[in-house]
Amino acid sequence: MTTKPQALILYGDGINCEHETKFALELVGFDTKIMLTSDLFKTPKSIEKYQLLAFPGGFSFGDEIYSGKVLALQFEQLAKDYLVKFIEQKNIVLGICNGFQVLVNLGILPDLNYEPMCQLNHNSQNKFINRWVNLSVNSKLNNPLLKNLTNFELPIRHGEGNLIIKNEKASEIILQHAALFYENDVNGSFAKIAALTNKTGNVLGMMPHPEAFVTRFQHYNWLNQQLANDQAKPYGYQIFLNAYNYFFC
Amino acid sequence: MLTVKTNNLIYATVIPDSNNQLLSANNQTPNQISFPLYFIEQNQGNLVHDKNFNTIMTNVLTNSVNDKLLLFIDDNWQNFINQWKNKNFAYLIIKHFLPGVTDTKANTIKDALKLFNCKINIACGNIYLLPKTATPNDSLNGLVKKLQYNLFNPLIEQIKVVDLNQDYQEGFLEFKLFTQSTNDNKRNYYEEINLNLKDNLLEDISKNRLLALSLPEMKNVQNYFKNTKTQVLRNKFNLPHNPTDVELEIIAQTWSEHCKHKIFNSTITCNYLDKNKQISHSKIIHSLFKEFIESPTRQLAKIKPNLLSVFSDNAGIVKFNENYSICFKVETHNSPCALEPYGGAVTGLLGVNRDIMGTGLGAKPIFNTDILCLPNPFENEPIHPKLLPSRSIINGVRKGIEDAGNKSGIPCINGSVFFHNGYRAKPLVFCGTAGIMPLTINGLESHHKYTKINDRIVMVGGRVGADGIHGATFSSIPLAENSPKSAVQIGDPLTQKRMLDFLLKARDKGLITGITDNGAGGLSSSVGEMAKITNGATIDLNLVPLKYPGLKNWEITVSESQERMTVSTDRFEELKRLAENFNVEVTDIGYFHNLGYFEVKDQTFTVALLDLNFLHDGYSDLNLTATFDHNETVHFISEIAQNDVIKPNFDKLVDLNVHDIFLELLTHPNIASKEGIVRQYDHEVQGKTIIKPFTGKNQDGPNDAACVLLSLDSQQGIAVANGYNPLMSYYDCYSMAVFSVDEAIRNALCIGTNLDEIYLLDNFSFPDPLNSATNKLGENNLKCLIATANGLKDAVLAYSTPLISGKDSMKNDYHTEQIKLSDIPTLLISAIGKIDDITKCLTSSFKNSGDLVYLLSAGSLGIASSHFQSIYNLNSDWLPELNLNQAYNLYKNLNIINQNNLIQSAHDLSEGGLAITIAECLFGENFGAVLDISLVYGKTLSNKQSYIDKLPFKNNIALCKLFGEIPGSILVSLKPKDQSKFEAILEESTYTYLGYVTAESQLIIKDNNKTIINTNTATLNHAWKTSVCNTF
Repeated sequence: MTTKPQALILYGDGINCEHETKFALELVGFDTKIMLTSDLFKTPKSIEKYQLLAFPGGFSFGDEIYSGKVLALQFEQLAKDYLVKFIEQKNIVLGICNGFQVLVNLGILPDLNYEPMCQLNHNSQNKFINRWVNLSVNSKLNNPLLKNLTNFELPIRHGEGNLIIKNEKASEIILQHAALFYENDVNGSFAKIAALTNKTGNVLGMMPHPEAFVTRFQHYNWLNQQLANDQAKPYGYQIFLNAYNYFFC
Repeated sequence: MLTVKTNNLIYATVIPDSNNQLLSANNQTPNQISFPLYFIEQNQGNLVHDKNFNTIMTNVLTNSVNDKLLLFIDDNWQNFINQWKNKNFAYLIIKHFLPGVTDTKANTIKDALKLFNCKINIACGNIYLLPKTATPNDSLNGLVKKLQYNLFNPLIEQIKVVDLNQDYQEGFLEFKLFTQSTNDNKRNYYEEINLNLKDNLLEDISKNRLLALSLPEMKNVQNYFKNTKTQVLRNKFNLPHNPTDVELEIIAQTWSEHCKHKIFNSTITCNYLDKNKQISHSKIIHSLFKEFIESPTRQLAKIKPNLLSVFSDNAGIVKFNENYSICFKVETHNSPCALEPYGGAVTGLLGVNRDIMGTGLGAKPIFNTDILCLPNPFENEPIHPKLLPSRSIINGVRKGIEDAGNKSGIPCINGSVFFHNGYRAKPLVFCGTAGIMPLTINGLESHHKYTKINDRIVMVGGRVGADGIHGATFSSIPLAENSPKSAVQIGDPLTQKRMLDFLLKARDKGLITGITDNGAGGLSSSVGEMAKITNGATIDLNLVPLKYPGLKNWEITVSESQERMTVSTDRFEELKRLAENFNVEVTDIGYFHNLGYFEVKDQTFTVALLDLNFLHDGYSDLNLTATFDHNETVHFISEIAQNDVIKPNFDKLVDLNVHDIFLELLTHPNIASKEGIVRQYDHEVQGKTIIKPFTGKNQDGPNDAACVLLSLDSQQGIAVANGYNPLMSYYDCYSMAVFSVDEAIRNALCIGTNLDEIYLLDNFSFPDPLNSATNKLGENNLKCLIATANGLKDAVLAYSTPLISGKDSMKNDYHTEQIKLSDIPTLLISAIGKIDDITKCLTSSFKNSGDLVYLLSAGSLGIASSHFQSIYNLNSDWLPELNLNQAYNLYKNLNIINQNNLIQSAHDLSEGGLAITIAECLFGENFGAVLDISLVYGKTLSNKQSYIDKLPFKNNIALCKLFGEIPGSILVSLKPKDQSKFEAILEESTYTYLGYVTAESQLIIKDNNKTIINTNTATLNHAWKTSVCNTF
């Protein structure tokens, strides 16, 4: 009998996917706590009680200046050391959409060892996009959170998912940390990258929303029986399940 | 060298760092370059040369990949300008907000700077650089005019243009950015307004102060203040004999058409004339609202046990199951969107979100809907002052809905866009939100309020500014050139999102005894309304937090500054502690009592004191008359249409080719795919949207309605749909209402909603129904209103679908001396319903090749009011009809059929008619079909020959069958094995077998053994997706 892994989900100041992220984590077996970022910053040490930290999607600080910018500044100033330690101890950090943008702004992705080298910019169409997209896993990385997945579908819902990088030198490093690719060019992102992971694979930042596909009813075409049978497996569920299994392997 | 006076401002911009070579797919050369511009107020020291300041600003304002912070010091401007001049740019434009306009970016920057203990005042703007070619031979003034409503809106923003090839104007960097605090901080308590005046002067006061009070109402006010009882009380509080400006403003906001719905509650004498133009008989309507909206609901309440609260709270509340209730409200925000489309839409949507947050003890918003009725985007109408081009309106409104909804984390799951030149006077912007509440919260039924004597009055959220003053009274009069710009606001989704998170927590902790929205009328309305619960309230304006000093007391009282709620509590200290964690400001501004009056103080001085009975009931009832000619029935025609007399387009009629009509209709902006707009709204946040706007393997089959799960682990769904049919107003307003109800219900049924559990909202957006010197069509509009109300009542009773809430907007007109425009009478019906078992949900797409296609209908054929008719300007008054009783039975049977899993898809007939419906069913899975329409609507043609004979294509009735927009009609598909069971459930007269679905993507339609359509699905799909709607 093992105890359940503990997941901390942040909210407040414009984050808005905390409930469905909590639902997804509980579905696969996590114990969860939703906490205001302002509460976490008061006692950043409390992060030590958890094994998974989720930065959910949303519009923290209204996406002003740059998406994810101000929440990243707050972490930088108020809780960076604890977060770094959390990562070094092989806990999982999952940044989804706006959460991914925060992790990039913090320099945690592609990896803490590098100078900041990428940014999630406005989509090349200059429009917010909500649609489901086909994704493929970078099989070279063997990322533990993307186990048992190769090509799959998830929804994207963002206006700033266009990964831009600093220079030629950065491109190599970025490619080494690319966890997911879009099958088609959906937003102008460099090398069609949809997600980044750190070297050790325990930090994953992704623009698509895994928490939005953990039951079959969330798929846009679940009423098509054929599709329901062979394609509409909840891929997001698999990602959270991988996170759960990570602690028992 | 350029030397400029900078009035203590530091300018900063962020430009691309040219040392970094950016790798991005985006390489096109823009014809316009833009950078952010920051204005930083320098109060002490010399910040520019402070290295620490530079580091902090770089940290906050730039990303570390491709940005560089540029502080303008000394000759930097000169260098900056030269740099662009050398690159052949001709104009530099600086844009900034007018003082006092919400600047959300600046607020966030201030939040970020706090991390570095840096407290400065900052304002945000933009720099634009325009190349020479963009504007040949333009004068600067001409250029500014051109940029108006594209680059900036003069109501909220200001620009300065610098011609890079000219010498710089003295003072080009002088701005008025911050609202200046006056040295004289002590404001006057009030101004006494003398009402001992003659009638015409009383009217002047109402007009000049934008009070929108009629003469009888001004006289009611006059009489109230003459009353001895009033005077005794006033003496006690040291108030003058006459009203104060604070009091007059409170009265005006409370009595506004916007708040009191005086037209809907008016007494209408209907006189019916005989052939000799003599009154043969009269009938009195005591209140349109009571007779045609409330009364059918009361009637239906006997068989609808789930109605918890109707027409009384901020939204209608319905019990959903043993644990939860749902509430629903749709608002219009027409006038603000006419002036400032972006800000109008943001505040419209955030406003209706607050209605939900302020329903009962507070509900959580679960989805938004938006319906837009706009002028034709292709038309080059002359632009009158205050009439924006259609494209500017839709661009602004669309962006506003995107920002407000997406940033609040509320999915926008349903809506539509309708273009017609009947909306030139005012665009109609309907914003709707539904919410969910536990049935009981801490042991209390959540659909009541529990405000009691001595509870504190707490203002929550944003601060009060001069923005949004007179919104309620302003929307109660026609748009005109002198419409106030103070009524325009921007809105701040972040502040509201924080407030929402906080309020739900506070509610669950039992810290809230009552709650309402601060919308139209501001504090005067929210506190004035809640005061009715205990019979009195007192607030102190000196405690109200302001955005900036210098506001008059009456302005603070009626300001509609956004993102505020009013809450009553008996545990203020706990509430305040909780709020701090959420970054939300809460202020105790007074208390509730039972002394019978609403008192407004400024510290110890009373500045307003009004008897609550007088305040809420002292306005005058309107008495209206409608005279009906002997041949006029309740089926009434809007004369607004006379502006748009139909002239048959004979050129187009010469060789009417069915294939061409089909494609032309598919690209019509009212019919074509709205995917370009819809995908910019987040419709999946919260994770519960299980019937989305689009379906099918290519995500492009349009659904009729949407469904969200009650909760993430629930098997029950909440459906939402809408219906409207404004083109029908040109023929028959009664049927316009009936068809609108019918369409909303059909849309809901098509995703599997249970007819017994559908609840409706009515939103009337009408031209002014009051006759006056400037409004000759008032009586006609009133008769349209009566006809619409009649149709609404008959339809909701026939379908047993109660109305639970609604809203009316009665001044959709535009008046100047040169031009008078009025909107076409429009009724929007929104439906919310229950799906008990989501596995019974339906979508519109055909599912399997070989499935059989049936048309179900309780309607009869007609061509008038269709898009086919309007494109080709056909002169026909052959109206489609609907048999309401037959429709009810049909819909009940459809529910039974679906419960027995006998159908695979359902899609209603609407804009464009049967042909469009068929095409849309094919798109999702890229199927084809072989169909025969020979028998379609055949039984409804028996007595229509006279109409048919008048048609230019009288031998080709198939055109009417394909493109007529027939109410009561639904296209379904089913598996062949289910055919006999399916037919057995239906009345024989309500279904027609059409054919079958094919895997081959080819649509073949036959009529009397002749193939009339034979076309590839991809061709149809391409036409449908190629529309103006994808350009917004």
